[in-house]
Amino acid sequence: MKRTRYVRTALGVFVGVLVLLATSSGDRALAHKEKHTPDQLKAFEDVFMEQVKIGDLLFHGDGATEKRLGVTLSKTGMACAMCHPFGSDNHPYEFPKFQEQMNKFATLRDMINWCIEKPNEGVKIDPDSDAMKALETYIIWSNKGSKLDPGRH
Amino acid sequence: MDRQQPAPRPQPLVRRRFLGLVSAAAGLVAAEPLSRAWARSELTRSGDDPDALPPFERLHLPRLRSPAFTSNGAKVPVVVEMSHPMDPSHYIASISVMNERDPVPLKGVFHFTPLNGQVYLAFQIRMDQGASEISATAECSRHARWQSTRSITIPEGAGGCAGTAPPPGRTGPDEIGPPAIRIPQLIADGRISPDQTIDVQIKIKHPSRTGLVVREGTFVQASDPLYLNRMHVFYRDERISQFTMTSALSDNPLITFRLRAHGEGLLRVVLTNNRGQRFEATHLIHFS
Repeated sequence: MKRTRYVRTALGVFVGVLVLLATSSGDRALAHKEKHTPDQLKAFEDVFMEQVKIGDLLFHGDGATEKRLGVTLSKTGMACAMCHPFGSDNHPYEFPKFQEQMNKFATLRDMINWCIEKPNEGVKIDPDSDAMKALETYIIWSNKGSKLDPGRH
Repeated sequence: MDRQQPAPRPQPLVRRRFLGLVSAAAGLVAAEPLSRAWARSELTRSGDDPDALPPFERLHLPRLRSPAFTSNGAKVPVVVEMSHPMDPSHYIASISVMNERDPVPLKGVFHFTPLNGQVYLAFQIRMDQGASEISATAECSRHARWQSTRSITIPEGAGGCAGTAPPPGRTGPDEIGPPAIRIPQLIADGRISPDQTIDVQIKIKHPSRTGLVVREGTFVQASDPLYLNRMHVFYRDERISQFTMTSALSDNPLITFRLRAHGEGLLRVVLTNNRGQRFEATHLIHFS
C-alpha cells in the first residue's frame, strides 16, 4: 500500500516535470519569434550596417572619420584597403590562430592592431573601441558567407 | 626590361623644327606670364609650404604628399592635389610622378580633362631603399610645366622595387580580381548632388611586379614584369581621363581621382595590363 503511494507520487512528479518542460520550452520558442518584429529586425540591420559603413570609411583611410573617433590608423597615408581591396586576403574566419608575424596566438583584433602599427605605421587602438568594432564589422561583413576555419594557416 | 626612360628621344633639328623653336621662343619672350612660367618650370620647388608661395605659383605647383619616412618601399602612398581651375581654356592636362634614382623611375602619367573638375590623384608606388626626391610635374594647358618635389627615405632592406611576377592563371594570394568603383561621398552621405566634385576610387586585386632582382648590389631583369599599364575613365560616354602606369605601381592599388558630377549617367573604368588582359568596372551616377 505504502509502496504504491510512493510510485504514484513519483509518477506524478515526473509527469509534472515533463509538462513544465514542454510548456516552458514552447513559451521560449514563441517568445523568441514574437520578440523580433520586422521593425526590430530592420533596426538591428540598420545598427549593423551603420557599423559596416563606419568600418568601410576607416578601412579606406577616411580622415574625417578617424578624427571623429579619435584614432590615427596611419601616419604615412596608408590605408587598410591599399593591401586588402574589398577586405580581401585578411581571412577573418581563420582567427583566432597562431600568427607568425606576432609570434603569438592572436585574435582578429590583435591582427588589426598589428597592421595599424606595422604596415600602416599608425597608432594602435583600444581593442574595445568603437573604431575597432567598426573595422572588425566591416572586415567580417566583407567576408560574409565564408566558412569558419579557426586556427588555419 | 621594363625601365621607363624619363628623357625623351632626341629629335634631329631640321629646318622646320628650328624655325618653330625660334617662333616659340619669340612668343615666350613677348608673353610675360608664359616666360615666367617657363622660368619657374625649370625650378624644382619643395611642396612643404605651398601656402607661402605667390598666388600664381601656388595655383600651378602641384601639392605632393608622401611620407617623409616609411618602412615599406613596396607600397608608398602618393597624393598629388591642385586647386588650379579646370576650365576648357585653362586646365591641368597631366601629372607625371617620378623618382629618378629608382630602377623604374616613372611611376605614372595621368591625363586629365576639364570634366574632372579638380586635379586630385592618389595611388601607391614601389620605391627603392635610401633617400629619394620624388617629383610631381603638372602640365598646364596655358602655362607649361611645373614641378614639386618631396624627400622620402626608405630604410635599408625595405626597398620595394624587386619582385617576380606570378605565372598566368595562378590562383591564391596573387590572383587577379575584377575592379570596382567606390565613391566615398556615397558611403558617407548616401547621396551625390548635381555638380558636386566627388572622389572616385578604383579598387582592384592585381599584382604588380617589376620582374627585377638584386644581384651583387645591382638590379637585374630576371623575369617579365606584370602590371596594370592603362586606365581609361569614361563618364556619360565621354573619355575624361587616361592614366598610364608602370611596373612601379604597388600590388592591389587603390587609385583615387576626382570627377565633377555634371549629370546623371554611367561612369566606366577600363583597365588593361601588360599581358593584354582587360578589366572593366561601372557605376551609375544618379542624384538624390
